[in-house]
Amino acid sequence: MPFIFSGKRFIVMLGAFIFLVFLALQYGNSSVTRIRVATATTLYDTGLLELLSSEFEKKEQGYAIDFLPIGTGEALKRAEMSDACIVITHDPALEYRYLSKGIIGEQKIIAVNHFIVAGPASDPANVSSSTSIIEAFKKIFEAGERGEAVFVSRGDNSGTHNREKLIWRKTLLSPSGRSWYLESGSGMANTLLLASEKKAYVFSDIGTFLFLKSKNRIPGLELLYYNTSDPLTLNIYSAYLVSSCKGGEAAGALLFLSFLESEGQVFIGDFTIMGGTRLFIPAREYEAQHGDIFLAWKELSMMGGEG
Amino acid sequence: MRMVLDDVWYSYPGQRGWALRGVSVSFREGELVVLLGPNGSGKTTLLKVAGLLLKPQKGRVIVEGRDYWSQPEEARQAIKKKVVYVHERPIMLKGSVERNIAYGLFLRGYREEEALEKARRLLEELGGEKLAGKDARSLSFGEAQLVSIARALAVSPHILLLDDPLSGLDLERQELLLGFLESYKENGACIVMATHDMQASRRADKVFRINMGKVLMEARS
Amino acid sequence: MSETVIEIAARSVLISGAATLLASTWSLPAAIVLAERRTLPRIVLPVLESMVGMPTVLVGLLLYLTFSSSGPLGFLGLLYTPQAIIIGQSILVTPLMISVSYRVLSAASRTYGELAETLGATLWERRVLVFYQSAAGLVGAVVMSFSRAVGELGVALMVGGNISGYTRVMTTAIALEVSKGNYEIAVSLGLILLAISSSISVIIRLLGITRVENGT
Repeated sequence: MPFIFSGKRFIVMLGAFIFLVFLALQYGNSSVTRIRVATATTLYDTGLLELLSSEFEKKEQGYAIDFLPIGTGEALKRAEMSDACIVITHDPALEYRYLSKGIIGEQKIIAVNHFIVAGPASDPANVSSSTSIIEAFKKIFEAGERGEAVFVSRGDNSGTHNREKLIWRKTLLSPSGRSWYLESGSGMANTLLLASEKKAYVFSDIGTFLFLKSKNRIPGLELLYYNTSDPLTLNIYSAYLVSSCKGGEAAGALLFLSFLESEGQVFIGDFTIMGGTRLFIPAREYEAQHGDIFLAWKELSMMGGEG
Repeated sequence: MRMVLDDVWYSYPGQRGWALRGVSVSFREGELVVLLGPNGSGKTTLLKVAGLLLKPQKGRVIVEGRDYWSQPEEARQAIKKKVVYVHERPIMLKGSVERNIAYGLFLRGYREEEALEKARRLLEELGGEKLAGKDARSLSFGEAQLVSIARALAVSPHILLLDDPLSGLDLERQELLLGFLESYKENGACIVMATHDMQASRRADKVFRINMGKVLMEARS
Repeated sequence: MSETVIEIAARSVLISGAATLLASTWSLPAAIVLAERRTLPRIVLPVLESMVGMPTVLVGLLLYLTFSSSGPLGFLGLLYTPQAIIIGQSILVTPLMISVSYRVLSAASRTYGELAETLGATLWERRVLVFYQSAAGLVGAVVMSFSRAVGELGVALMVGGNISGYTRVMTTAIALEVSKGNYEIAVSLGLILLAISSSISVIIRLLGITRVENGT
């Protein structure tokens, strides 16, 4: 019958439909324990974290690591909302605040690299002759005021952006609002690409810079300031257990945290990109050469100041 | 079946003014009633109120001596099955001509073959046998009009309300249809027809002239 | 990337397809109820129509706050699951699906619905006829909603979390590649997304038309 469905047929169709919806809602369910890891994007984008998680999942059956690449600020916010079990971040001052509120704990410093300043090869501000990051920023400020240089900031309250703001405070100069000071409002890679187009100076982590440079994506940028003994440019990645995380997920999270500071260190050290360049120094290796890394972290965490 | 519209006022929601302004008319079994009036005079509204599709804001619609709109839902449903309105612009459903005609029969629980057989017979009687088996949506205006009248007749209504049914038909078909309707009313049905056709009004038992939402006069022929 | 584009694309289609089906279980009934009324739609529809353009990130954020462990529905444990995206997208497309199918159904209700009524149909028989006669238009509304779901980013990102191999869909994968500066990959993913959603629209429309034409 064309226009009228019999009751029976209607019920069969409705049943089939509900079954389909039910199936769809079951989609993706499995028996593994999922561990939610909110992470800084600079670490995730290189592919290092997925390498670490696949090695971990090989070793410990029954766990799946779910990375949420959302940036340092948002990762800590989600920890506060109880929506992550581990956070991996790189902003000591901000981390300190969440630590002291008891939202996160079990700190494991896992890796280190450095912040750098990149800019046009012509280097109108003469950044490459600087002996400290503070001097480099001062030179950029002066060149900017003369109309010879442009600076691109992340402007997104990420770990990198917060460090940049910290350094500006140390120079006692305020670039905010200057016509030569641009805010991209986006991730590190986007900001580097923008700076390359604009032939501008930019503050970045060495990992993302080298990653894009090796792919020939930022021809307008050269490495101008890279000083591994400047404490203000030390970029420390820490992993934390979120206090509200409980049960099987928390047990798995602790296993992953201890994996990160043991076997994981080898994978971090061996992680290279095209041309064999290393992007991160494992925390253990750094300590062997430079002494207690926690002290360096502590010092940076005290410099926080504003928000 | 008798129907009386008693001082009926109707206004379409969201529109200003009254489409019907105090209309009082009555129809009874065995009558062919013709409504005459220009476009926009309220003929269609009157037919839809009589067809129990529109509920008037004021006034009463009395069917078999009882106020239709104050009756319970079940009683209304039973009365409604006996009153059929046929749209001015024929509405064709997806599917063949026979299935269109049989739709009302399906609603009344007829079996498929039975309903289709009845539809074919009716189509023949109205001189539309050539339309059998065609896709209803490929018909011309006049053909579709014929099918929609057949669809209404299929359920043997006691009151049949036709909104300008002759406009798309040629003279020969008009004659055939009017002849059929005359014999149909003899069986005790009431047929109300809105039309511009003076020829048709000459055959009517009653003629109402309607303008600006008011019935101006009643004439008996 | 640790998983293939095909996996991500398949997940996108599954999740957004399920979301669209789920949304239709309440949107189509809501649309027919609206279509049968004269005054109610005049209040409800403008509200729904303005909600069609709501920023998906805002919807995503509101849903995140709802599904969050510290939110009202946190106990369900849905955050960062495909189910959360399915529910979120189904809510996202509801205003669109209702307002488009209302347009189709209100026209059909005034003609086919009135026809059914005068021939003695009950309310439910009337609704079946109106639905049946509007099938092609309703398929259009559903396909449009699917396109909206499969192409949205905010909800999938906020409540799905863009977890590789689990809740990563085409749009979040594109966003990730953009943030990594891999513009070429992002563009090719975008083209694949466009190809998928347009070919699904075409296939469903063709199927719908042939079924409706032969099903008489």
